[in-house]
Amino acid sequence: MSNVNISKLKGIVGDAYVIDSPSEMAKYLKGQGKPAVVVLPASTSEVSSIVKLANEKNVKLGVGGAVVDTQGITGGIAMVMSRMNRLLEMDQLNLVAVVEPGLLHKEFLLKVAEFGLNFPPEPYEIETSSVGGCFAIGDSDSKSFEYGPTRTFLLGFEMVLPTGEILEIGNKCIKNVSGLDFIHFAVGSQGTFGIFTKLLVKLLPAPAAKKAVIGTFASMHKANAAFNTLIKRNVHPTRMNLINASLAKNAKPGTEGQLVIVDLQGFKESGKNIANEVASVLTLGGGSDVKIIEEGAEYDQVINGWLKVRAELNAKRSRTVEFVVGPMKMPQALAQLEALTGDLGAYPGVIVEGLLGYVCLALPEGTDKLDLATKVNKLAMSLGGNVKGLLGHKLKADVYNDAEMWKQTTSLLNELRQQFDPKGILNPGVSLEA
Amino acid sequence: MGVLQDVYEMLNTCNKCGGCHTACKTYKLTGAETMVARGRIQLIKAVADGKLEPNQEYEDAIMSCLLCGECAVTCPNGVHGNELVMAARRDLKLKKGIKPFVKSFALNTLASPKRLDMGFRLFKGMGKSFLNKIDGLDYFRGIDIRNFPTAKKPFLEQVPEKITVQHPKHKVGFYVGCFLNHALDQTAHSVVKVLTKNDCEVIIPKDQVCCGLPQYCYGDFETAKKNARKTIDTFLDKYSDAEVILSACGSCVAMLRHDYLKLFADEPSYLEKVKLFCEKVVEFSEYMEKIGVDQTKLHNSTPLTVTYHDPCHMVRGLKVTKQPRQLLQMVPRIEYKEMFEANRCCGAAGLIQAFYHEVSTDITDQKTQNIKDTNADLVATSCPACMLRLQGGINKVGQKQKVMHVADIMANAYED
Amino acid sequence: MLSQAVVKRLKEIVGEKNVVTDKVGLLTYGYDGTLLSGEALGVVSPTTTEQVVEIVKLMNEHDIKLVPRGAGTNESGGTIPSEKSVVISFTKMTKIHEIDTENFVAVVEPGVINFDLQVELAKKNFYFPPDPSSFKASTIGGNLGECSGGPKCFKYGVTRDYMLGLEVVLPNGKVIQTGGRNFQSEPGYDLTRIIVGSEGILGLVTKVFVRILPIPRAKKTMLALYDKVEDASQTVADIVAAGIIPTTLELMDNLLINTTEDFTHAGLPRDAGAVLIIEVDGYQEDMDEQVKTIGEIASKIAKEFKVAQSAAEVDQIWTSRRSAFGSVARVRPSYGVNDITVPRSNFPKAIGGVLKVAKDFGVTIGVVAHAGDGNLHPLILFDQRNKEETETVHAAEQALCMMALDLDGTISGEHGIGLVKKKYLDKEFTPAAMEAFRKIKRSFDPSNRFNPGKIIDL
Repeated sequence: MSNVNISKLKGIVGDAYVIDSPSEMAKYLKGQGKPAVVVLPASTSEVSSIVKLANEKNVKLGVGGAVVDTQGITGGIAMVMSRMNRLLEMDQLNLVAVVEPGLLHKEFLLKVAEFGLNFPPEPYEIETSSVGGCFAIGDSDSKSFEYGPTRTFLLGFEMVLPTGEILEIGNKCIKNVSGLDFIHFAVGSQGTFGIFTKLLVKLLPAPAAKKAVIGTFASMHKANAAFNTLIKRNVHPTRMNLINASLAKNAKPGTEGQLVIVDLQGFKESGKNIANEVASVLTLGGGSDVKIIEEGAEYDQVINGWLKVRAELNAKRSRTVEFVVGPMKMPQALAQLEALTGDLGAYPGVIVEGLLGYVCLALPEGTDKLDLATKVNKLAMSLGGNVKGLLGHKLKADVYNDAEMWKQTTSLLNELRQQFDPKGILNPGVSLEA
Repeated sequence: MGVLQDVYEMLNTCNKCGGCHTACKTYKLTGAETMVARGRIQLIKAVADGKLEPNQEYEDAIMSCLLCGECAVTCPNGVHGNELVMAARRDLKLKKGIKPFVKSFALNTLASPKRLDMGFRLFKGMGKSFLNKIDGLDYFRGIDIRNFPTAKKPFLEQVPEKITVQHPKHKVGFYVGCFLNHALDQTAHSVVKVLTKNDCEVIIPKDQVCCGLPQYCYGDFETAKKNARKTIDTFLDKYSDAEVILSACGSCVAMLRHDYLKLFADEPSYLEKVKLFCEKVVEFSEYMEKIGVDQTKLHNSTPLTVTYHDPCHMVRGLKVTKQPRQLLQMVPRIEYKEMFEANRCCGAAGLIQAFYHEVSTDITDQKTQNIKDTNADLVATSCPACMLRLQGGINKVGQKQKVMHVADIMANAYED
Repeated sequence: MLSQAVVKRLKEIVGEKNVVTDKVGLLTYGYDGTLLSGEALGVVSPTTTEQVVEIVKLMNEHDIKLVPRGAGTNESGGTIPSEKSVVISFTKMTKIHEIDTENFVAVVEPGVINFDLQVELAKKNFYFPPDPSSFKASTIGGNLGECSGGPKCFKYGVTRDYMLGLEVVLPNGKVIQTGGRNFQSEPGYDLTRIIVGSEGILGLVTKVFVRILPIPRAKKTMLALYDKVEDASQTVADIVAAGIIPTTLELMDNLLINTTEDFTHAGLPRDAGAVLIIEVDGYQEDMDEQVKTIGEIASKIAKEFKVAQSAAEVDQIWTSRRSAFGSVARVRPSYGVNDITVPRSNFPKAIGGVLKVAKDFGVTIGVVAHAGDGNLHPLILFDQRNKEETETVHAAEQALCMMALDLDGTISGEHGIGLVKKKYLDKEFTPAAMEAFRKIKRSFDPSNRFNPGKIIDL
């Protein structure tokens, strides 16, 4: 039996926005959990009221932009933010925007472009990702070398805390060290500290020129050697990415071999020269069909190809292993990795973000993820890196044989979560235990 | 008004920005806030405000300052940390006197020609051979005791009072200074040689005494004043025909030219005479550059790489940096090479090397490393105290460079 | 007073020389760059993480608080010993463990002086972008604690953006690592970010992984001179509005031009109402276009616009700018530095606000600003010995903070809160935000052992 009071929910958001028939609920949900109801609030006060209601009855509550992960909220409430999708303000003088969390990432990008501005973070999923989700996940991406990780672009927010209280923080200043840095700390907290209801987003002027250089390589190793050459030549593109042969076709139909995508955003004059330099390095490094792309539509197509592959892997995080090493250590990392995985070109999926030294592996059916991650972590650590995120920290502590450090880290994480959400109501599916 | 009240405005002008952290060698090496201008100034202020009673730790903070003056150059507010430390030392002297050891062994001995002469004779005769017998005493507090040079007899006893030349163009009074008189007499001879080769008649008063700088630095203004008066009277009364009063010791020159004015600021009747004296004081390289050196007379067949160390009193006291370098580069086949941080203190800093040797030894080690990095054969400088400190430091780490006064290098390039 | 037993144990942990308990020593660790002062029970200077752990455990046993300190050049009072506490000074943890230019990371101990790191990096043609004006003296640990800014923030961001990972000793004496050598290494929550700028109230950082970048291939430094400071502020707004991101956009008013000129003799015109120092960097081939655009924008209002011709000239300009704070005691012996920041479009209004405060309170204010960031440092000049004047200055400072908040700004853009601005914090933040800070502090340090009383009270 669920404790959810459907009629009270209807009283808060209106009948039309409380959905409790399983068939209608399905399109808002993913995962195995079975929430009792989907609710679509339209304002901060509605969100606050729903959270307060959940608190009274100790009901679990999961939040998503367009789709909610149902893990841990069986019998509880799935809150979909898609009705809170307005662009509230575009302040060109200060290069900031105020948006509601349910605004789709792709729509936000279009609006931003209309004003000649730039919002660098990549969407997690091209079609359904929201701006709120972008900051809730708060990742780095393949443009982070140039623009910084996602958190760089959040200046403030309004948030409904797990108690229902509303917290506002931040301002349009691009420099702000007042108080503790809860603004950036909240980025990546996956909705465990609270639910974003308004976001104050930092923007940049759009780059004067965008170009891409693409090429294909017979092996991952040759492509990475070319990346190293570029770094040694002090060339740091906006993106410098590599997709293995198995996935390359998804990014660019008809591709044979491993696909290299180098994205150059910047000034016109240097852009021209660097594009030529990149093209010659790729060609000399063994690349074929090396091409400089200047035309806008074709550029967008190439970048979208990358984002599509990126999103495919994001969609199956439970079946991927991600790790980082120093970018110049990548050739060694891949050589050693191949001993574990076999031919990387034929692996179900491998992408490399060359400037960040980041690799994401899509695992073949039947692979023991933890086992592979443990081996990969050892490999990465020997090259100054580690498996990404929480899992990486646990594996690292294992390698140090330092159970105490891991215990400290998790107890600190859990204490923080507990302080903000004493009843453990919000997004219980998010685990801080790895 | 007390001594500290007189400098209170400057004490109060330090706004603790910490900019002097970069300048202060004693801070760099110890990382202790008591060992940097900002810390010292705050302590002096605490004493001035009556919040702190001078104690041993306070004395250490004040006495360990190298007085190199680097903080004064670095301070955006123009606070002269070295002057404030001087005031604090004066204040200490007045309140507590000077420690007997410092007083009798160092200051009084230096102040009295007789006692200094006696000291050097003792050191030469018995002391040095005695010290040589003690293992591990090669480097007493970082000072190279065994190789500490001593003159066979004081320079002043080796030369006549007047050295004439065939066609005198200038008349120079030579203020020799303690170090050149008793330890580095060869350098004193070099100075005379360079001067005479450039048509200067040299007057060397026999009854000259210590300039008073060591006593002054320890706040003993009374003794410093006594010696200063004696020096001024000697040169102005008995040898008034000397056009200039020249010294080859940067520290002496800074004292004679600048600090004498401060010493006698409270004695208006005598001050005019002091001013007259100060205006006549010149440093060796400064003077040579001014009268012009005949480069054609300089000969040298051995290619040499030379680097130059700026003594604190030269670079920050007198602001003389170009002239010695120019003179060096006049000598044929000398390749001049600048060292890193040439203008930073060598660690000698008067008596600091004896009393705060932990600090000064490290400072010297840094300096010798900077010297080594230049691959120079010779290190030139303009202060005998630096010469001894640098040579000792170089010997200690087993490097080969020879340290010479600019005058020595020039003198070698003149035919005898 | 520390008990003999505690002193003995401290000396066992860090060595005789690294413990200070005498009055003279303690006096010199009681102040920082502010007008405040306090007195610690002792000063201890560890040289390893293990020593830090032992010190924390010992202090916990005896219920003594710890106040972390780097060079003590901060402007927030963040290192003032405010309760019965021992100062833990990191100036002896000065090792640069590693500089890995190929992988854009350096690993350093917290006591490394920012400038010393820059010198080592420069040998490899790299640099560490955050360089607060105090960078020749201040430490990386201190920069991290206050989340320092500096003149390059406009393009490159603040200290927080260059911290990849930390080793942290928690108030319970346990050690954790946050982040790592690369992006994407945080465990769950971004712990690195919450520790950066926390002024030591959450943990003691003993090792820092910093992001380093290659020195840009080309750089151009420009000067624009104005009759009035308001005119300069308009150029700032115009440049931002034109979508240009210079590396720096610094402003000094007439008072600062003169005090710095007394010190540096850089040749800035003493009669100018204000000067803007504008710098762009990047690829050589992009310089001309940017300089041209900026020149056009500035020349609309400026009475003179010029591009620095030599490296020496650039050095002189920066020496002037960096000595701005220090040099004002040439006018009056004390200064109160403010760190108000407003949205960039409000910058001209903020300048107007500062002038109004100066007039209303009858105080002398010199203005130096990271104008491109909307970050102003109005320096109120006075003499601390004059009680009445000091009161007026405090009132004026409060007015400045309120003015910034009214313009949707913040009371601190880069200096931190410490003790100096703590009293204004609840004017900027709602009770819910203040409570969020407390929740974070409680999670790390429930017994309030580290740097108590700074930023917030529990």
